[in-house]
Amino acid sequence: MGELGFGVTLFDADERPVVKQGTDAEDWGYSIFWAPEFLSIPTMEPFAVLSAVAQHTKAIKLGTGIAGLAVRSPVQMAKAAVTTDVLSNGRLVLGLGLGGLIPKDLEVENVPSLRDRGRISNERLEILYRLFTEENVSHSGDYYSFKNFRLGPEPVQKPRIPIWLGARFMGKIADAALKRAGTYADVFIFPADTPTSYYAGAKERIRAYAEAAGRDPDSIGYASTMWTCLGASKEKATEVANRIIPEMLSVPWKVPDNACYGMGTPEDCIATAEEFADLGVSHLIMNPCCDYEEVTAQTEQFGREVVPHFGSGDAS
Amino acid sequence: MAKVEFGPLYTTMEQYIGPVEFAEKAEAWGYDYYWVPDYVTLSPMDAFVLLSAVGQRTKSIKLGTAVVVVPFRTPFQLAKASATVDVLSGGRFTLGVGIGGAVPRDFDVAQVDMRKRGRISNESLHITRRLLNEENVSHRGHYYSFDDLTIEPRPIQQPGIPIWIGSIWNNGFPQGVVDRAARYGDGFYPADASVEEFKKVQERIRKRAAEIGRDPDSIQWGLLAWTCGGSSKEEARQTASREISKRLESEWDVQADNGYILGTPEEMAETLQGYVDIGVTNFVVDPACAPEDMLEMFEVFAREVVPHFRSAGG
Repeated sequence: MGELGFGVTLFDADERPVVKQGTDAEDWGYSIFWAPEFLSIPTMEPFAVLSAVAQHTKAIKLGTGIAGLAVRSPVQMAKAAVTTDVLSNGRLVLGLGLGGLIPKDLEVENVPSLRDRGRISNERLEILYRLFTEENVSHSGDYYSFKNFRLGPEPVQKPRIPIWLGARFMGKIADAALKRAGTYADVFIFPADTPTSYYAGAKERIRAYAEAAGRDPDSIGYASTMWTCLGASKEKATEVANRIIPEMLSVPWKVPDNACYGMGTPEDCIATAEEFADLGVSHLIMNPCCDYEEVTAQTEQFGREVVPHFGSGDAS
Repeated sequence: MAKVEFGPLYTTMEQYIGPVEFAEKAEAWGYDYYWVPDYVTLSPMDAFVLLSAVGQRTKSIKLGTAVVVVPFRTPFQLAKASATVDVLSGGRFTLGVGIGGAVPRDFDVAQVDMRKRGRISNESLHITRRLLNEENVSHRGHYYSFDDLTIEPRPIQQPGIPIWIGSIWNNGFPQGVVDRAARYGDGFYPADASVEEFKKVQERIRKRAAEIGRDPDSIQWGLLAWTCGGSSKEEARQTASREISKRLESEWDVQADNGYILGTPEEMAETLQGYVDIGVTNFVVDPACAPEDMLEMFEVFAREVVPHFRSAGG
């Protein structure tokens, strides 16, 4: 079993102010504090949140989880990322995805179709990757064309800010997402719903795409989102999660079997986490889905009772 | 009479002091505002992300952008990021905006049609203002259409975050700027405007505000003031011409009377008083000296210029 680190996602309905959530996450042993991004539900702008949390923490890494490629132009994304990296002295983890978990966000953002969203996101990701790795970028594509752009200031992290890519699982993970991961990701984040049986095949695809892009397949790490609800038993916790998740996301949802859901006692969660460590995952993003008034206590309990069971390593 | 407020603009000083450390100093020196720019190619940092960090390291200084170029972000981004900074700073945020154009290259990189920047900005500001002030917003427009959107968290400042409209005087102010300020501006802060030109545009904006049913007295006035100290106005003028040209990468000839604050502290105070006399109460101190001299200039300005406007009854 490999080393396993844990992240925790900022939770807007928590009674703690966001900055306190960040300092607590550091105190409770989490290795990454993740700030989500949604338009139509009450999340704050993730880069601004992370740069604020950075002022009160020392070592915890700060991740966007997940910032939407559909939301920002690549130059704005790069600037927000570099600014956060500088203000946190090199602690940013740039978690990116296509967005669209919440249908209303996309409707509002005027992104016409899933297909267009994929295409524009691919081009944006390519530009972003080049802005991070090249001094003077010229680009000519379907959506963007420009000459000799140089990003400033220099990010603190070298050779560049790590890019973690997320995806959705809807019966499968789209091959385009696996290709994006193989081509650009330092870490691929499996969505919580991905069945355990699906991991090996997906990783093989990512590795093949990495080789095709001239990258070392072993350089890509894996993470998973882990919806978590502590309770007296697996069944009781699942019952709560089945009620809370649809409420949070305004979409129908049911906890699946054999996927990354930490349901039940801390021991149940340790068993689930071990299972995913065995699948090659080295970072789990703990996403509380318990009753809102229990989020703080459960996040602390998970940090104190589940996290220390594993090494302090993570995928970054 | 309203308090006259001052705030330094953090720009091109990166080599000498970081933006957060500078904000701490600005607060300690007694400045009212801390301003940051948000160009794409010229200024390095994202203004919202930076101010959010600054909010954690300062207590009471107000935090503003001078300016965010509207068409480079969607109104949703503008509203979400503004609300975030406002909440994280305990209600200290001011959204200063412009429509861009001084740096055409930025539009190439952002892939925004520069010719449409006025129209895009108007619709975007309209939406941004509504998203910051109202809940359950629906909108049908040329660039954006959506239903029943509420941006959360809600800003702390109510009824909304102050929006300032910036513009650079260029042989006058176009009617588009006047209209924008009258409709969307809690404040108007031009650059390069002489007292005479400022008075003219002030009257136009007040008139337009009255026409559209807004109380003209609700609009505040500020100045984006290139500022450079020196042993004389002429010496400071030459320094400013040289330094601004370097910064904008194009030849810039400073006309001393066009909104430039130059010379000795007494000369600066005298120039500022001319604007205060016509109702200007908010000065963005944009350093036009060499980057290595900026820190000292801001300290001297705080110590020897600002107090002229802080005397009893001032």
